[in-house]
Amino acid sequence: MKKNSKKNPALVELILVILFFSLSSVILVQVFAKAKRISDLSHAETLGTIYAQSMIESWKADPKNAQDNLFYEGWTVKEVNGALILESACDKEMNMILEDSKIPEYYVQVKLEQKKLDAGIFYEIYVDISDNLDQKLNISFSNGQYVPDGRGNP
Amino acid sequence: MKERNSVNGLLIFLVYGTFALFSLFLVVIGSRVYHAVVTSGNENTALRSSFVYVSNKIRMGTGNADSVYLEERSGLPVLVLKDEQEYETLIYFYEGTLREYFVLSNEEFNPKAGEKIVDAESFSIEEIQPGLLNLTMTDESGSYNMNIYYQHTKR
Repeated sequence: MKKNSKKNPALVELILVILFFSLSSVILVQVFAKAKRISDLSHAETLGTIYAQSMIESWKADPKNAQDNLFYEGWTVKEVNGALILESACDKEMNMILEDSKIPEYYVQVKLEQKKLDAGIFYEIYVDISDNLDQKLNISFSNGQYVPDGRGNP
Repeated sequence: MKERNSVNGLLIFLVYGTFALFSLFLVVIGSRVYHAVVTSGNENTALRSSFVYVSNKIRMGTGNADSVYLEERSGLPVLVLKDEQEYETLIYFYEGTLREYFVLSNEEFNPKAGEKIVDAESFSIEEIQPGLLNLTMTDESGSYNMNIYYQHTKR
């Protein structure tokens, strides 16, 4: 046995090197995967922020008839405590998913509320975007606009 | 004995080969991830820069009614942001770049003279309803939209 190991020191050395290399590889692959995940999350944050801002800008154009600007095919609409809630699922590029076969990456929820005040109505919008996997993406934007009675869009 | 030595030699060669193969594999994976991360970062920057730049420019011009409007100049669709004085800022897409051109109102429009803001495959601005502008930017990974509300758009 002793004789054998003396004969193949190169092989033993190589096996040790490969063992070390394998351990380093595992660590590196994990680092690569993490880097990719962070990059994807950053991209999703960019698209999600643009998407949420865009929705709020569209809503600002006419908060009284927000549904006309924001309702598209694919939204799930429900009413909870007087607030209108729109929900949709999106893919990696923040495009709305219309087919059931696709797995959603992100969920978008838009809440439209209105409060009657003495001389008008206060309209509010809340946009929330979250991811489907580890809930690391969480974008929340909101805005409000007061519309006096009889004057329409201020 | 000679046969055993050749088997050992082959084994060492195989181990070397595996080592080299996995090293190469790791380098390829690493370079791909690096490329994807850098590309994605650049796209994010270009997307944010262009949309934020245009929306901030539009909001800066909200002082006067009709100070922001779209029109065609030298065959190009141009977003015009009029100054309170005699100057105007023109934002347009020309030769693969979003550009800004700050000139006197009566000066001739030269699209090449504009300052480069960000590169893109295409960039368009259209008014989808009164006061609501839609920006569309297309790059290698796809097409992206953003709406900007501006109340005093010229009709």
